[in-house]
Amino acid sequence: MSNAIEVVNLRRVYKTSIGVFKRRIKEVVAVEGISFEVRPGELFGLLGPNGAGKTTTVKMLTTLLIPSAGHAEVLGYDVVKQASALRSRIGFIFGGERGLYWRLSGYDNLRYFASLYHVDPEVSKKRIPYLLELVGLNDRAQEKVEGYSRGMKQRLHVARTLIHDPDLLFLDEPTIGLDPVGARDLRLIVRNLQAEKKTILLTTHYMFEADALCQRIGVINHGKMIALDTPEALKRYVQDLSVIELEVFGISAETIENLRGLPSVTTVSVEDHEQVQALQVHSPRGSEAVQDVMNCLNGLKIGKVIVREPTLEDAYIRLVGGQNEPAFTQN
Amino acid sequence: MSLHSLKTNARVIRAVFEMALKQYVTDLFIIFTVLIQPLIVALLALWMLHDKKADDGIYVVVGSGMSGLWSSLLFMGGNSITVERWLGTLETIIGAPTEISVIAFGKNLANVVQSLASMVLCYIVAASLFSYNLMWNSPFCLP
Repeated sequence: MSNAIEVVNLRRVYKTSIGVFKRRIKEVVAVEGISFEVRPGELFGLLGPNGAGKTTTVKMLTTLLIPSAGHAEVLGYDVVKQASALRSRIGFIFGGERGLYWRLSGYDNLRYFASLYHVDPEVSKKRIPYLLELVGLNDRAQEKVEGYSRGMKQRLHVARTLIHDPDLLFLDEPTIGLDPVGARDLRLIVRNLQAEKKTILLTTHYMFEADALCQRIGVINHGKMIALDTPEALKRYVQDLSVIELEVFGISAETIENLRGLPSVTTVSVEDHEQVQALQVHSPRGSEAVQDVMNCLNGLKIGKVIVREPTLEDAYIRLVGGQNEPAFTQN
Repeated sequence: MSLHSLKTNARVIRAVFEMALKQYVTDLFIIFTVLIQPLIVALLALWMLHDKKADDGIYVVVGSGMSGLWSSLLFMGGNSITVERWLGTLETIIGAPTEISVIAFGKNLANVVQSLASMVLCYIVAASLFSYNLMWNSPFCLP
C-alpha cells in the first residue's frame, strides 16, 4: 500500500426539499470532485470555511456517508464496498461535546465502545486505564460524563477513538470550543499520536494549529480543493504581501472604502471591538504602504500600528477569499 | 455465522444491555413509565376489586404490568435511534464494526427486562397490600 488515503474525484450531493405543500427538491453539492492522498504516518490538515465540505469528506472517508461519485480508499479498503472491514482499522472524532453517553461514567463509556469495536475484554481491561492516563482522566474515570468540562469530554473522545488502537485517525475540529490550555493539551496528545506513527487527518479552523501540527495541508472551498501543499509553501503563496495591523477609534465606512481604493492596498478587513476598530491591511509594498494608509486615516485617533510577515491565516484568507478555482497544487 | 462472531455478538449484546439498563435507572421519565404509572393503575384497580373473587387480581397484575411494558417499549424502543441522534452517538455506533441490528437487539432486550419490572412491582403490591395469593402455574408457557 503506497498511501493511507487515496481520494479520486470524490463527489457528494445532498437532496433537500423546500416548501411544505408544494415541495421542491433542491440539490446541494457539498463536495465537488476532490482528489488528494495522505501518506502513511502523515498528519494531514484539511482547512476550509464553514460549509466548504470538510466534514462531508471526513464522513465519506469514515464510511458514514456514501459518495455520489468518485472513488476513495482508506488503508487499501474501498470506503463503500469494504466498509465493515475498514471500520475496525480507523477511529474518528467529530468536534464538540456530543457523542458520549452523559449518564454513564467515563470508564463505562470506554468499556462500551471497546465492546462495539470487538476489543477482547482482557485487552480492554488494560487498555482503558492506559488511555485514561494518556488523556489525563484517570482521577475522574468513575464520575458521570455529565459532570465533565468540555475539555474533559473532548479528551474522553480521544480515548474513545483510540480504544481499538486504530491505524488511522480522523479528527474533525477536535479543539473547537476549548480554552487555550485544553486546546494545547489536546494538541500535545495529537503530536504524541503522530510520534506513534499513526496517520492523522485533521480538520480545523485554527490556522496556527494547522501550521504547528500538519505536514501537508489541503484547503477546500465550495467543495473543491483549491490548494494542497506544506504549510511553508502555502505561506510562500502570500510572501509578496505584508500585513499592516492598526487600531483605530471611530473609523467611518467611507474611510474604509477609501483605504480599499488605495493602489498599494490589496485587501482591508475590519473587526469592531466596541469603540476600537482593528484594521488588517494587506499590501504588496510592505512598510512603504504604511505612509499611504496613515495619510488616508488622517485626523483619526490611532492606537497602534504593526507591520508583520504573512502567516498561514493570511494565505488561507487569500485562498478562500473569493477564489473558487484551483490556485495551485503541488505534492 | 461462525462461533467466533456469535461469541463476539453475544458480548456486544451484553455490553449494550448493561449500558442501556444503567442509563434507564437514572432517567426519571422511564422510572415514571415503568414504576409509578403502573403502580397507580394497579392500586386503583386492586382497590376497586378488593371484595371480588381472588382470581381477578391476576388480571390487574398482568394488565398494569402490560401497561408499563407497553409504555416503556413504545417510548424507549421507538425512540432508541432518535435518542442516539440527540446524544450525537449515532455516528459513532454506525461507524463501529458492530452491526446496528445487534446494538438494537441489545437495547430492546434491556427495554423488555426493565418493562417487566412493572409486572413484578404490581405482583408485590397485590400480594403484600391486598393479600392476593397469585400463582403462575406455567411460568414458561406464556398465554
